Amino acid sequence: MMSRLKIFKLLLITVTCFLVFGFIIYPLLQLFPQSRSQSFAALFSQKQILSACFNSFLLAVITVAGSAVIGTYFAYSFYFKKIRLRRFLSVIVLLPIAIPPIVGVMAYLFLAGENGLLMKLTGLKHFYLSGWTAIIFIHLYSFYPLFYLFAGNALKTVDNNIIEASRILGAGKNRTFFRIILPQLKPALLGASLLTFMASMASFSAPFIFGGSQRFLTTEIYYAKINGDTSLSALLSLLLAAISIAALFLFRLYSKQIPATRQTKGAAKKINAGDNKNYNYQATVISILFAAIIILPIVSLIVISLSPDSALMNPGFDQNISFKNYSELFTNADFLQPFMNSLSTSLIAVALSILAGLSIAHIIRGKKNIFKTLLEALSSIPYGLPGTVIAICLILSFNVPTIFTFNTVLVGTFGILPLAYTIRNLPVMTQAVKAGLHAVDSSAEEASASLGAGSFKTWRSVTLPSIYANITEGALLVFISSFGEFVATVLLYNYSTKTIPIEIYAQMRLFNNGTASAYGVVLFLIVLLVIFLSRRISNKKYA
Amino acid sequence: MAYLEIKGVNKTYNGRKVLSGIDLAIEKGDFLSLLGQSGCGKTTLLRIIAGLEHADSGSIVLDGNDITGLSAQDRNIGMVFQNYALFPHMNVYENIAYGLKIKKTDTASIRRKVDEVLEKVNLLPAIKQNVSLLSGGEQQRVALARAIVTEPHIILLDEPLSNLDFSLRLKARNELKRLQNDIGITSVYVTHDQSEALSLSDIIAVMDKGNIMQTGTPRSVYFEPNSVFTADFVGHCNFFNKESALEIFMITMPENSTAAVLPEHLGIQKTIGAPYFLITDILFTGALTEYILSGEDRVLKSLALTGPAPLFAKGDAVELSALPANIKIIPL
Repeated sequence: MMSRLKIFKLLLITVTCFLVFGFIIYPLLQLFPQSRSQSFAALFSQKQILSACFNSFLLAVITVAGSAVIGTYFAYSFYFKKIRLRRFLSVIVLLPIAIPPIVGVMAYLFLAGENGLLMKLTGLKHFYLSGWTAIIFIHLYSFYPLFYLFAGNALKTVDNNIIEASRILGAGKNRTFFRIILPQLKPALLGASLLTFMASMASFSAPFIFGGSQRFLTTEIYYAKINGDTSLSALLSLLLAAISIAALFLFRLYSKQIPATRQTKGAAKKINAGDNKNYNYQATVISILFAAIIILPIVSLIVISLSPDSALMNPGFDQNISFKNYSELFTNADFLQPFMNSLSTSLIAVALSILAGLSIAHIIRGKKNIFKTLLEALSSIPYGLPGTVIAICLILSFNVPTIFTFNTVLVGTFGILPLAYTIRNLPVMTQAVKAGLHAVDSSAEEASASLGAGSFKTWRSVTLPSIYANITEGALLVFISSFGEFVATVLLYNYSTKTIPIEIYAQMRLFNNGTASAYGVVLFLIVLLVIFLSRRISNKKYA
Repeated sequence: MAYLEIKGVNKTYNGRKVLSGIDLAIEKGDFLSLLGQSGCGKTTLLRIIAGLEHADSGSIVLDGNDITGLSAQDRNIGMVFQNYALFPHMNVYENIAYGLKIKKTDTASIRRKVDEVLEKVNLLPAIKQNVSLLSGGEQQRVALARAIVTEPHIILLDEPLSNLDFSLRLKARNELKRLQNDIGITSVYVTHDQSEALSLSDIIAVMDKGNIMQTGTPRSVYFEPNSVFTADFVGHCNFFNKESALEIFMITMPENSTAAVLPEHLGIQKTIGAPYFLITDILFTGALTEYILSGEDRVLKSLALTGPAPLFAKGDAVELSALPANIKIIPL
């Protein structure tokens, strides 16, 4: 009995390590030989590469700063100020999370691009979003919710008494915010900054669609690859990977340094915005305006999806509202294919990442040692890797038969998409399961074992049920990310494996705006539905 | 006009009356305690004085100025919170200097004033320490130093000793008394501990259910309670109705009144005749011994100096006595 368990454990560890090496480390290592024909020195002498580096960096800095201000402002407002419709508004400000980047970009293009709805309806012909303004706008739109969540959680731990103490000592609202509240949020804001910095460096859709002649690292990698310059794309990927992994490393290092508790003695008083007698109308108006900015692109997407494909091309705005685009989507086999592809690749990715995440989380559970730390660190590398880089790595590794792929070529097959999604999202799943296992009462497991249950039975009936909620949460995140994945897919797809985001891009290029929007709306609604369902499921589990 | 004058303050939370018609006045340099059980409104009253909450009606006048409408930051008041509310990201010096910096004090004066106040609370060596590394007693002193360093009109203390363990609490109480005598700053102190209130205060306001039941010196509140609540809460008095007062002490009282006798004024003697009480428990606490008596369906308490040898044993039958001067007649 005992020895069979040991064999199983050994087998699990071997297989897991083999796969982590084969699909994370090995592809990453392929960047080195492929980029050897180029040198960094030569690279930096090329003007456009330098400007791409500079632009990506500048964009990331602006994105972090802007998202920090917006996210912190709303976290603070919703926590401290009595705002009308607060419950509704606090849901709205999280909406951008459910919008895949390519859909967000498209929505902004249709709302406020050169031929956007806003321009058509208001006649403001010269104020359309393009280039840097558009990219920054979209980045802020997509990335501030991270700051909102981080700052919001940190605010909950701030003792209201220190805020009152500051006021009694004569400090006004501003001084109290900057000198007392903000320092308490510092660890959370720093963490969010690093994650946002990584995400902005890795961002592809916005620079790709709105960048125009501006160069960015991710788009340079794409163009190098499309133009057949493999070694340049490998070298740039290496550069981008190095920056991202460094940021990830800093984040890990920093989050370890945050002291567990810095409270002074005694119970901290909770802040309750409901204590305020009067509604804060200034904050209410700002929040409602902001909610409008969030909802407008979605509304315009829905409007365009109900209009003929040519709606935005004509001088006026054609108001023939119909469901034609949608009915076409679900009756025409050519249109249905991408939908099925997205669904199946995402579901396979969810299944694979659950398996892999469970294995890794179980292996690294318990007492730390060098092997476990190393496995955890290596398997979490993809978290910091931009989708573009992962795609390049996979292409370089699996365009020839390898032992990891049973001597077949993976590039160009259907299988490479779920593989890419799984690799991208493995760290998220592993962390979710790890958190769940951490909370599992090991004495309950011991109790089960002492009652005579075998190891597998104990796992089935005690361990697994207690981490269902975490697995659901992880699966949700993997699904959302995979279902809207564009960055890696655009480098890996072929004609028969087109997914919805790819089809959206293709339809946009054909100026079939109605069809593209309909796809976008479907994508958005499915993501919302999945979030809603998984909330229901996990709520039931907790109850 | 008094230094701090509170007039007709009312406060309602979600339809529940928390303070009803509070009137209170204290002179400059006085130490006032608001004494009552949790939920009696004493902390709310303190927060209204601080400006952290606003009364529904009524006025607060401090040093001749009506401060009712002022917000907390404009009142020049010091406050010590129950959990001290030290700024966790600042060291001792920065915590204390915070209020001075807001008042635009120059750096040299800040330095001097922080040194002085830390000297007063015996914490000068800890000046550079991180506040979260200090003990509870030390944190309490930093909070006090932070509140008094700006020389506020008045200092408010919200149960500042309740987070300390018992022995430290007594020490901190004496320390607080010494400081208050030293500085002579007008203080309002919130507590539910009657011995703290009695030992520290010049004036005690006993509060119950949002009302002030009695205001007076510690001695008058203790020895001359004007309500059953005060007699019970402050002095832990024994109560006797008209019939039992006549039967036990042979005194006659008006209708609708009750007789209150402090435990230390309730004498017991061994007896064989009725009416008698049984000693159900004897608590030896050192200098004092507490006798728990039962009879007539109730429990009484008698307190006596501990003698060289035990006078009574558990189960003894005793009769009660009290000097007429020590029997307080309280109208119901």
